[in-house]
Amino acid sequence: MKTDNTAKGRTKRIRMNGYLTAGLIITGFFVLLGIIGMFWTPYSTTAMSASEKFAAPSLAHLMGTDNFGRDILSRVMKGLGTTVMVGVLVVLVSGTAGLVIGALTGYFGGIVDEVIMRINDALNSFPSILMALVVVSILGTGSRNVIIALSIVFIPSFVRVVRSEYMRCRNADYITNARLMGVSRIRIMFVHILPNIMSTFLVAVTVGFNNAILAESGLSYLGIGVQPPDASLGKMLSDAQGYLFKAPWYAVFPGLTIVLFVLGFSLIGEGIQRNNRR
Amino acid sequence: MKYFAKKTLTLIITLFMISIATFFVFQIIPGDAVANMLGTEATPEREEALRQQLGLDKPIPVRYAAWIKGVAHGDFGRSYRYAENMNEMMSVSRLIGDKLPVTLTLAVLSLIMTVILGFFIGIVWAGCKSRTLDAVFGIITQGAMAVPSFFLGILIIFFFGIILRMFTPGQYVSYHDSVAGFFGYLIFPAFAMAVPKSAMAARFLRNAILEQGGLDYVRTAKSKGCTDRRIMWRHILRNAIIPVITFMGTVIAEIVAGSIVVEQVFSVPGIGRLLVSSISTRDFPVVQTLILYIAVAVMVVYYIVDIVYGIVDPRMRSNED
Amino acid sequence: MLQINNFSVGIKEKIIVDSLTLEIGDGEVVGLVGESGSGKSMTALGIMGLLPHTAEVMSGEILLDSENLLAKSAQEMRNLRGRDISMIFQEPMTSLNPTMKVGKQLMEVFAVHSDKYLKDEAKNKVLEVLKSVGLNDSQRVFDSYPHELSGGMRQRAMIAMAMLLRPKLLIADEPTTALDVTVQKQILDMLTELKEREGGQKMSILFITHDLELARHFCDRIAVMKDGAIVEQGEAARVMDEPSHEYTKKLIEAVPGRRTGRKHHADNNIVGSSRDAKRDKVMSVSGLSAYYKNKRKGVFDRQTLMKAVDDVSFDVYKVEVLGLVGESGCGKTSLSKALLGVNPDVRGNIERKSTSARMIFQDPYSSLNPSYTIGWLLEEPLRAAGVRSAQERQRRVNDMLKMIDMEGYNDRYPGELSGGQRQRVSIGQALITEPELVIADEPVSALDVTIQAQIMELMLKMQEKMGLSYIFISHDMNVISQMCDRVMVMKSGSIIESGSTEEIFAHPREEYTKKLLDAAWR
Repeated sequence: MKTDNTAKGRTKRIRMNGYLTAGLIITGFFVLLGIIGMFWTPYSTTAMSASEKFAAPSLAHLMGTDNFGRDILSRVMKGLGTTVMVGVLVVLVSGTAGLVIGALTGYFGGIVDEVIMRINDALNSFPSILMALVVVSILGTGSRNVIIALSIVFIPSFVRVVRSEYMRCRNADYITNARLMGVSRIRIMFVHILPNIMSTFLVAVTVGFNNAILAESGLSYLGIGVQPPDASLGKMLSDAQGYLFKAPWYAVFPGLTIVLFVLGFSLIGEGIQRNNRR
Repeated sequence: MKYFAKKTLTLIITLFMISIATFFVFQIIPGDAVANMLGTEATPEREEALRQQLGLDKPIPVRYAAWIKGVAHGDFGRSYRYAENMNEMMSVSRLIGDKLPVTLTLAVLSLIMTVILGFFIGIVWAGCKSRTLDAVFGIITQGAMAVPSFFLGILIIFFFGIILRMFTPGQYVSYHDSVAGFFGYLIFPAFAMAVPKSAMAARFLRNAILEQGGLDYVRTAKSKGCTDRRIMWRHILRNAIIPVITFMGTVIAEIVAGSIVVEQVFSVPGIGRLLVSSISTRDFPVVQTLILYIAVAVMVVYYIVDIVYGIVDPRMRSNED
Repeated sequence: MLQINNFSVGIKEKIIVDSLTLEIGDGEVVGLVGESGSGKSMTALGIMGLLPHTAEVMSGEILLDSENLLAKSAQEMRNLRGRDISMIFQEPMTSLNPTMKVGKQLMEVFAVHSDKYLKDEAKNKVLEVLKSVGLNDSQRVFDSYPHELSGGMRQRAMIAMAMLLRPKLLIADEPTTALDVTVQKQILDMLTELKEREGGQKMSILFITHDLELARHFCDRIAVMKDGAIVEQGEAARVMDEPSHEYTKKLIEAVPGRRTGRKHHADNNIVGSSRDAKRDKVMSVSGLSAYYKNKRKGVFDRQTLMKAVDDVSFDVYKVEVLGLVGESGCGKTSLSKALLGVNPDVRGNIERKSTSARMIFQDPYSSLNPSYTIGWLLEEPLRAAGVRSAQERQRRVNDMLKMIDMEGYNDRYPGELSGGQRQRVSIGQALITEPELVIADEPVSALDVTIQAQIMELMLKMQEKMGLSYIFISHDMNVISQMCDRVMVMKSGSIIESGSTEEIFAHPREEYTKKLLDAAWR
């Protein structure tokens, strides 16, 4: 496939708006913090210190310390790193699979499409955390299994979005026109239709990220997700719950991190949608 | 009428598929359940005996038939972990028996709160003309949706439990002891689930109302001389509610799933908590039964939603004959 | 009766209605004519007191029986609406509440306007009015939901709703535009009749339309609107026959069928008979039937086929315009799809000299891919046709842009263009690979009249330049008369009559063709 002039034609300027800017800043900040956390943290995430147990937030420990005297900021960064990794891998795998399956079934239709969609709709009607629980209960716990579980679980929602967009576009006059010109099916699917569904797909990606983050931290909170020694925000929250009275900051900071991270993605999604409406 | 018959048939087929799926998924689990149960006492003879006792030596379709027959009679097998007495493991149905009403109450309480809060906020929001107020609603609901229920639960425990002392965290009150205490305790986990869901419902309803408000039939109603209030309650809401009904199906399903997490936060002994602990201890008969329960509940909820949808939207009934 | 003085409306600094002055007398029908965006609908909404929130009345007064409507409170206006002034809208499909029975929606008028209304009495009145608008099966209509009625029936129900309380003024905003031509005429005849029947209390009508001929037929007086202002008004016949304003002249000039622009190819006048066997055929169709699939209800349901085109045969000759006329649902579009090979369920024979057939679509807003620039869009057919050299493609794109009068639009996106400009690009896209045959499916019916004229001119110019043939599909006899050398009339999937344009227009054989011509009023 020759794409000589394609790139030039595709560069449509992205219009910024308040939602998009705020979302990108928040998300960017936390992704960066998480990536740094994978390689470097201010303190060791495992070093315990009996003398510094339950230290309140201070300049030395910005988020305070936990029941073993470990620096909470360091552990939040580490946990954020896990979350970012899980989120990125899950969305990458399930998004790609969803895009391909959705494009093929949506564009071609037919019996295969109907059968796949019946199954897909049935799977999609179950809450993702429940499906993740089923997969985890079969595969076992641990971050690798959580990634596998969530990647499988999120495919149907992507398929659904992409398929309905392809079905909408498939009968548009401009696609009929392209068919009449003799443009190949693959080129129609991925050159003619894809850019038109991109913004909807990106909204689905932000939703996917949110769900992945919430599902991962939820599973870890329940103790059946990411396992020690891997750090996880959800696990920290469940540990912190026992010391709510003594050290509220222990629960507040990991919790707030999840909230803001999720909020960032929601804002990006909202921003894209508002752009579309105009 | 055909619409309802069709939906009922779909429900029956789906339930059948679910039962097959739940059964077979738990047949492919790595690791032999029998070896697992016997632990250190495992010998080939003992394993063989237990396998025969559990019926695990028969072919899969036969086992499915036996299992589904049991399910139909309320017999879900026996737990691998919980003992009834010295000789017998506890039956799954007994294990679940007194936990089911707890989770059901929690979900229904939460649903009621979601509907009341969501509809109230959604309608007020859609009606508000000030741009600032609109933005405030937008930010609050966006924020509420971003809070995971377990964190919200912890915050509620902190404020209502530890600071305001409106309940004692972790001290669940059984309905056997005090019905008032039971509801007084469950109100809080229900609220933790209802907040993000009602924010979602409010956003959805508000968007539906605004969308309907711009449609031609509303202009017609105005040109008839209807008052704004009449237009809202008799025309817009009835149409705006249609997509919300479908959406509520998803919300209810998520509440059912959300209770798994929230029961853990508030130490509520419902089926969610049992499910999590059974997954950790690989107590598969219990996991299998609970997954089946929840899946069936979700499907029945969607079925009810479809039926309500058909009643509210006249187009559904006649178009899909 | 109604007197509008110096009425102005603005939206965000922009003036939409500009010092409009208009008078409607008792029992008079006044036509407000203009192209889209001329401000005619805003004027109507202004009278109703239903302007959108963003719009602001800047000056003027609207007097109904010498009471200023603009000075009235929201409550007073509500009481007026539906009682003294009623309005019917363009979109019958969406103007009724889809979840409320039609009868209940009509009854609501009584519920709103009378302090104590008796249900039975109101119902009898509603049934009576439904009958008077030609819905004889009034009880059934009363108990139906809107989706169970056809477009024409819904519009009748809308009219019934507007007439319930015998208003002094009826505002009709393009009430027939969305309907088939034959239904259009019935509805207008019925409106005239209703007006006459009112007897003692005369009803006035403000009739808003883009269609000059329709206005001439239906109205006593016509006011022509452009950019928010009335440029000319007067007796209907006077305005049409001796227009004084330039714009009115241009509008009348642009009305299809009025102009003598089409120069028929001399020998085309005698086509359609065996004498022409010698002439080059571009396409030859024999015994063609096309089917469409009924939507299957379940995976296991049997697929049923519906016949959309029934045993059709015809030839298309070199350098001619073959018209295909019929109302919606007659199978025009199915036929064009079959000809292009888009529909796989086809019996019969299609012979084409070359495979390069192209299509021009009705809706200029959906026929161009919104994600790409005009340059890319024009280049794509060349790429698909296997023109390798990028320079060659670029040259041809630039040539085409010049021909369609869109030079310099290379890097623009379709979203930045007007409907007419988009349609030019569509034509360019269809013609850039120099096909022999182009199928144009209602290519001008979504456009304003002046733009219509330009697009048709462009199509004919391109035909002369490139020596191609068109199959030109339309529901509009006037457009057909202007564009086509030969005409085929289609009804229920069959071609019931065909011949040269002159022949068909002068001596239609079939009743149905006569009806179509009659409905076109010219």
